[in-house]
Amino acid sequence: MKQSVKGLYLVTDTTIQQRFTHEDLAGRAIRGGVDVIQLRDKITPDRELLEIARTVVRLCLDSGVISIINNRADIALIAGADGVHLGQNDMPLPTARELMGDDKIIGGTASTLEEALEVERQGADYVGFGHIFETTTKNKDYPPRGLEVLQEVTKALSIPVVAIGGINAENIGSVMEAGAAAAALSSAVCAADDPCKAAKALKQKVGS
Amino acid sequence: MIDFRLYGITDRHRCRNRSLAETVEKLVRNGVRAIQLREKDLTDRELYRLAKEITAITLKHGARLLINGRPDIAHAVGADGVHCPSDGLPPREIRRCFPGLLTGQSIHSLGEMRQAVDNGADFLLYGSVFKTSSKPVEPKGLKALEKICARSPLPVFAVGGIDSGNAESCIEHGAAGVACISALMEAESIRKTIKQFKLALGTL
Repeated sequence: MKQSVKGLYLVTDTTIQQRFTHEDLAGRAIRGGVDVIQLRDKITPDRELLEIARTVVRLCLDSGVISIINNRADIALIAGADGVHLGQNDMPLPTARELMGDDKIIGGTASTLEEALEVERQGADYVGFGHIFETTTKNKDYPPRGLEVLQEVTKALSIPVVAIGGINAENIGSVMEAGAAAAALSSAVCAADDPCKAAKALKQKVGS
Repeated sequence: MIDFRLYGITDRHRCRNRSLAETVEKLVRNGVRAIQLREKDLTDRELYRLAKEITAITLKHGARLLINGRPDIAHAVGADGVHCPSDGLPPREIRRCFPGLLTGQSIHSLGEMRQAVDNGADFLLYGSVFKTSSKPVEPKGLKALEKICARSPLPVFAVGGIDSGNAESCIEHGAAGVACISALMEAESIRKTIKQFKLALGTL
C-alpha cells in the first residue's frame, strides 16, 4: 500500500547552495522531521545521479520518509524510490503510470486549476501546485498564485495538493489552512544555516 | 544480436532542409538497420513525442531504434534499446528494470571498455577515431581503434569523423561496424551515400 503524501515536503537543491550534497540535505532534513523528500537535480550525469538517488532512497526507507525523484521515471525505478514527480515538460503522466505501475507514487506539477484537474484526471497521486508566493529558487514567467487560488484547487481536487513556491516559516501555516496536504519547499531548508533545525521549526508549524 | 554494420546517429539540427522524420525514413528505407535517436536539447515531453514518431518509422522498415540515455522513454515508445553515454546509466542497471532493451555503450579508453563489459553492455561505440565537427576532441586514430577491438569481447563500432571513404579502414582494423552523424544527416543524397557505405562495409 503506498503512503499518502502529506506534511513537510523537501525538494533538495544543490544549485542555490553548495555546502551540502543531496545526501547531506536528506539526512539533516530527515532528522528534522520531513515527511517527503524529492531529489531534484538536472545537472549531475545520470550514472552519478543514480548513486545519489540510491543513498537518498535508503536514508528515506530507514526512517519511513517518502522518496520521490524529480522527472526521471527510469532513475526512480532503478533506485527503488517511492515515486516520481513530473513537470509539464516531462514525460506524460499516463506514460509514467504505465511504466511504474499503481504501487508507485506519481506527482504532477500544475500552475492553474485547469492543469491541476488535468493532472488528477491523468491519474496522479498528488498535485504540486504553485508557485504560491514569490520565489527565487526557480525563474517564473507568471505571478504567484496566492492562497485564494490554492484554496480553490484544494477544494476542487480529491487527491492531495502539495503547495510549492516561496514557502517559509512565516507563511507555511497559511498554506496548510488553505487546505494543502503538504507544503513543499527548497531554499527555506537547503539554504538555511542549519537545515535540520529549519526543518524542525517548519515541521512544528505543519503539525501532523 | 548485433546484425548491423552502419549505425546512424541523429541530429535534427543538421538535416539540411529535411525534417528528422523524413531523414530517418530515407535512411531506413535505403537499408540502414540501426538508428540512435540523440537529441539532447529537447525537454522530456518533446523527446517522448519525437521518439514515438521515429519508432513508427523504424518499426515499419524493420530497423532498430535506440534512444540516447533514456531507458524509460525507450521502453515507453517501444524502441529496441538504449544508447548509454559513458557517464550514463549502466546497462546492467537498465536491464534490471527494463528487460529486453538492447544496450550500446560509448567508450573512450581501454578502462572504459573493461567497465562497459563488466556493466553488461551489448555493444560498444569507440571514438572519436577521426577528426569530426560533432565533437571538438583530438582524434584517437585507427591504431587505438585496433587495440580496443583486439581486446574487446564485445562488438566495437567506430565513431567520429566516419564517412564512406574511411569506413572500410575501420572494419580492417577490427571494428564490427561504424557509426556516424554528419555523413548521414548532412548527406545531399541519402540514397547515394548509403550505397557508398554498403560498398565500403560489404553489408549494412
